[in-house]
This record gives sequence, structure tokens and C-alpha cells, in this order.
Amino acid sequence: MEHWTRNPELLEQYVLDRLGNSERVSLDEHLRECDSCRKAVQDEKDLIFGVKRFGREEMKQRLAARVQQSHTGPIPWPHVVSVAAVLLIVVGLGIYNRWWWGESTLVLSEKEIGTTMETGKTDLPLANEKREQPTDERGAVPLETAGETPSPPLRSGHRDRPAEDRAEAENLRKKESVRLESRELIAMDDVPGEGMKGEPSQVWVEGVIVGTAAGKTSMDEETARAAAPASTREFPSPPLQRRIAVSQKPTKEIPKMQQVLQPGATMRTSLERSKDRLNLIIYSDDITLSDQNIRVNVVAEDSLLVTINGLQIGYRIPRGWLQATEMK
Amino acid sequence: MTPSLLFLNRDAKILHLMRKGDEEALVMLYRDTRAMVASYITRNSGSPDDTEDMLQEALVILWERVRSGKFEHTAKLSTFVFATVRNLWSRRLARMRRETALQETADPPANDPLLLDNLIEKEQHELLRQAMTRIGELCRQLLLLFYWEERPMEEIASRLGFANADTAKSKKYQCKKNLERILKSLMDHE
Repeated sequence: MEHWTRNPELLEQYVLDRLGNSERVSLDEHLRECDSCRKAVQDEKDLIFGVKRFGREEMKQRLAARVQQSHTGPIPWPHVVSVAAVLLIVVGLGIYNRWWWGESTLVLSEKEIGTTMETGKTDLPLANEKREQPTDERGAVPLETAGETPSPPLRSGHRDRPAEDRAEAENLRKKESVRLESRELIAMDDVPGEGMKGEPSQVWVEGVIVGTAAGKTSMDEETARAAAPASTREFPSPPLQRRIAVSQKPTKEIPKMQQVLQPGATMRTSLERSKDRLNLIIYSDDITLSDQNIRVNVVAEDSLLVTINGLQIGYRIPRGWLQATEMK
Repeated sequence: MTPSLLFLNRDAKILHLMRKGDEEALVMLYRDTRAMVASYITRNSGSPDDTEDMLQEALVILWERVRSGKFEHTAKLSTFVFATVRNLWSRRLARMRRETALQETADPPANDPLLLDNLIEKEQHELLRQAMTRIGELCRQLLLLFYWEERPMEEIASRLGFANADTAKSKKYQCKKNLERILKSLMDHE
């Protein structure tokens, strides 16, 4: 018998199983006797099944890509834009209202500034140089000394004083020629503490620079003691009958939660209430209290004006903390 | 105007798409059966990659059957896919067990005929894959339509723009010879 495998069409039909049964049987008989024919059949099978396998692999890849695409899908831009817009509004409101700082912004009226009271004596040693601090007739520090340096822009808080207070303060300001660079003081919300029967024993307050009195500040003898080297100074405040102790700590001691300083704030400060005094702790690595002139004015029942080396920093603290009321 | 078809069930729609050659049918069936297949494969020592591999393989087998007219719609498509996956996975597991058993014997694996066959098969497949990528787009499509999809020459001629079935047949012969030549050249370089 002729080697039928030399006929390419017949070989292909045989491998693709497209031949009739009787024809196939006769071809098989020849294959049993012909090694080269069996080899030709095997090569044809390898080629055709190889092409089939290639087709399958290609289809599997296309399927995987389609499935992947259907998982990810086209980007739904309208949906993305609406979600982004909502997020933007929420974040904007959050920033505006300072939800994440847990604080509130207060505006100190000028009337309160006008009632500035000089804090009293300090137990600390005198500084070498005796300087005088000009005061008005009520003993307030004239804030025009806070003048030349630009201060942070005013920000409206959500607990603004009533309009009549502002008007009155404006009149007072004009009368006393008090020029204010900033009327904004910032207070942090209370941080729950211990031992106060539901009241906090510590608050974090952020100061805002309200002016620079460098070169113009003069201090009386007693106040000048504040410039003496000491880590803690106490300022008994006669009208308030509460002592305010100012101390300094390095910034590394600031608890993690409090390490974000809001824009415009000068430094992180903590105010602690103890039985007989208030402790104002200034966290700073730049200032050395022992080398600075420090002065604390109680501006109102809830505000302090601290002058450190001529730099004036205003603090808003919880109302009533400077009063002489006993702790419950 | 082409009347829209109303399918009484999802399977009928998928089969219709397959017969038209629309691969979206595979994606639909993939979504319908993936959870079931994944559960079976993972319960039987398989990985997520095995799930993908087995499911794709089963879907391609279904595609081939439907396209070649050999598929008999006697059960739900998901049942067919699941049964195919079970068979494929059983065979794969049996093969893996055999290979593991052989590797644990004292004979070096290179002397084992089964492992050698596997190696040769993989090498041959890789060479053929390379050859198929070199024969050109028209030849590749033609050979796939004829050998893999088993489409009749008239349809192939129409789809690929040949004058008639004889022209397509003649071109198919040339393409096959080209493939053999490239394959031989690649094997000689090995």
C-alpha cells in the first residue's frame, strides 16, 4: 500500500477524525506496519492540537481580561465627582468648625482687653535690670506697645460676643486709644481630668501672638523678678486671689494628641487647675524662661495676656478658672 | 428591522451569544458559576489560582462544544461547567499525585518517562506558541478558525475576506506550511 500519510489532506482528515469508519480502519492497518507513517500522524496531531491549545490559551487570557475589566469597570465619573463634592463640603465644614481639634474659637472683646489687670507679685528673684512697664490709670498694660508687628488676621468664631458688646468695646477702644493688633484669643475645649467631680482639671490653650512689645516693655521691680532664672514663677493676682504659676517644658513632653498646633497659634500651652493655683505650662524649645522677661496680665476672667521677652501672647481659658472659687 | 429576541431563561441567552461568537457570554457564565467552583476547588486542596484556571478551562471547553455544534443542551449550563470542572480537577489532582510519587522515588526525575513527556510537551507548546506569533495575523486567524473553532471554509472565506472557500483553503495550506517551517527552525535553534 502507498504511504497515505504523504497526502496532506488525507492526513489532516484522519487526524481531525473526519473520515468514515471503513476508510479509517484501512488506514489504521497501514499505520501498524509503517513507522514513518505513524511518525507523520503524530507530527500532524502535535501541530493541530498545538494550534487548538494556542486558541484556548488566547481565549482564557481574553476571558481573564474581560472579567478583570468587568470587576473594575469604567470609572463612574459623575458618581466620583458627587462623592468628592460631598467630601469636600464635609472636610471644609470640619476645618471651618475645627471638629478635629476639639476646640472653639473665641473673640475677646475690646472691653475685656480694656479691663486688663496687672498681676501682682512674684516670688522669684529680681532680674538684674530694673525696667518700668507703662500702664494706664487702671493699671492695664497699654496695648499700643503691642503695635508694630503684624499679627494674624481676625477669624470669626462660632461663639462671638453679642454685637452690643462689640460696639461698647469699640467706643472704649477709641476713648483709651488702645490700638489692638489682634482681638482674637483661642481657647481649647476642656480635656477631662481627674479629681474635679465632672469638671476638667486641665485644659490645653493655644496662645496667639497679639503683638510685640520688644524694646518698649518696661517692668516694675516685682514683675521683673519674672526674668530671673527659674523654671516656675508664680503670680499672685490680688483681685483674683488665685496664683498663676508659669513653667516651661520641652515640646517632646506634649502628649501626642495635642501635637497639632492650629494655624496662627504660637505655642502649645497647658493650663492646669490645682487647689490653690493655676499652672500655665508653656511647651517650647525656643524660649528659655530663665532668660526672658515674663509678665502675666489677667485680661478678663477668662483671658490671660502673657508677655515673654516682649512677645505678647493672648490666651483664652475656661471662664471662671481665674476666679477664686474653691474647687468642689 | 431585526426583531428582538426574548429569552425564557439566562442559559438560552448565553447560548445564543455563544453561537454568535460573542465572548460576553463567557463572562456572564463566569459570574454565574465562580462562587460554586471556588467553593469546590478550595474544599479540594486547590488555590484561588486553580479556581481561575479550572473555570476558564471549563468555559473554553463549553465554548468549543457550542461553536462546533457538538453541545447538547440537556442540563443547565452551570451544571455542565461544574461537572467539567470536577473532571478537570480530578485529573489534575491525580496527575499531581503521580508526579509527587515519582519525585519521591530514588530515581532521578530526569530519567522518568512521565516527567520527560511533560517537559517535552511544555517545550513543544512553547515553541508552537512562538511560531504562531510569527506567522502573521491573517494566518493565525485562519488556522485558529479552521483547527480550533472548526468553522467551515465558506464562513472563514467570508470572515477573512477571501474570494471563496477554495482560496481560503489554499491560503490555509500555505499558512500551515509556514507554521511547520517556523516551528522546524525554532526546534533547530533549540
